[in-house]
Amino acid sequence: MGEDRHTGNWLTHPITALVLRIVLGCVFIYASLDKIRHPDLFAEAVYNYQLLPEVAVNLVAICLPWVELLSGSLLVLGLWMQGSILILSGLMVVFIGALGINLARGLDVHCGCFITQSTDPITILTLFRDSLFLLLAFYLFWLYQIRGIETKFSLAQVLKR
Amino acid sequence: MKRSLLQSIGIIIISGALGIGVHAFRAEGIPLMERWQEKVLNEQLTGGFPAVSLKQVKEAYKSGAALLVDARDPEFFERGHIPGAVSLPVRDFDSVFPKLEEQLRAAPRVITYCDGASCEMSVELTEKLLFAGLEYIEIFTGGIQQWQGAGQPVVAGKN
Repeated sequence: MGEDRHTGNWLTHPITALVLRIVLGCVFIYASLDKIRHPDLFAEAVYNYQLLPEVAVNLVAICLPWVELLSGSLLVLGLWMQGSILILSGLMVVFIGALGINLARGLDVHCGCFITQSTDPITILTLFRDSLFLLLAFYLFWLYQIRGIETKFSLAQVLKR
Repeated sequence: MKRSLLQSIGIIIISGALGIGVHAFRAEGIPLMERWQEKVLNEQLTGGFPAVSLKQVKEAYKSGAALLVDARDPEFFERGHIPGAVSLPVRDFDSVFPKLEEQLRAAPRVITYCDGASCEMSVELTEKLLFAGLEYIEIFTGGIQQWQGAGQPVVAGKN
């Protein structure tokens, strides 16, 4: 495992990785807050996607925002980063899949991605925005999982000292 | 990769416990499982206003957590209504509402009902109550028919 090896490539620069890690973490933290505050509205958004059995709708609406909040916070703090990156990458794949299926179906459903009370319908732009987040998650996955880089900008490293 | 998977499982378990744990202490929570198709059908019947099921009305009736409001004409209320319910006929709303206003505003939750799924008086009453500035109003779409059909008690008499 390398430790923040910077070989002149901006893509693997520790500051780039840190900034993008915080951006992705904050996106998920922000996305979770309104859903935690309004589980009823988020449950309705989940149901409207018509992808889950109805018994799972409320359970997902109650637990998923906490997965987002915890994973996002751990990513920002730099604790259990590999696990949180794996989850966030998986979530983005699932979200994009769900958005894509409903776009293809032509269902007039609301995204429920950040603001549960939003009435903005899903568009190709929603899909594009989420694809950027997925790219970000894959980048972090490549950096910390495949390349195995350990960053010094993390609580895990501070605790090791 | 094994470490990532273990961490992921840990995060999911902790998040699930946090979600369900916090949810258990929330007053305005949703049930962990819900019959969504039934709920959506009910809401279609209520013109988009929140609907409550027979089970929820039974719970509210037992705990006294909600004030049940009968929207039917007084003679039907007098013949038989849900125990504890008050009569606020849509037809006489303007004259009866001021007498019940204090009680209605003090109630944490108000549930309106009429005969059953085919009657629209509870929806009309809900509109009027919301227009009068009340909040947290739900409609029991099954009405007195479903209540009686389920063997629940009915009492006769006036308000």
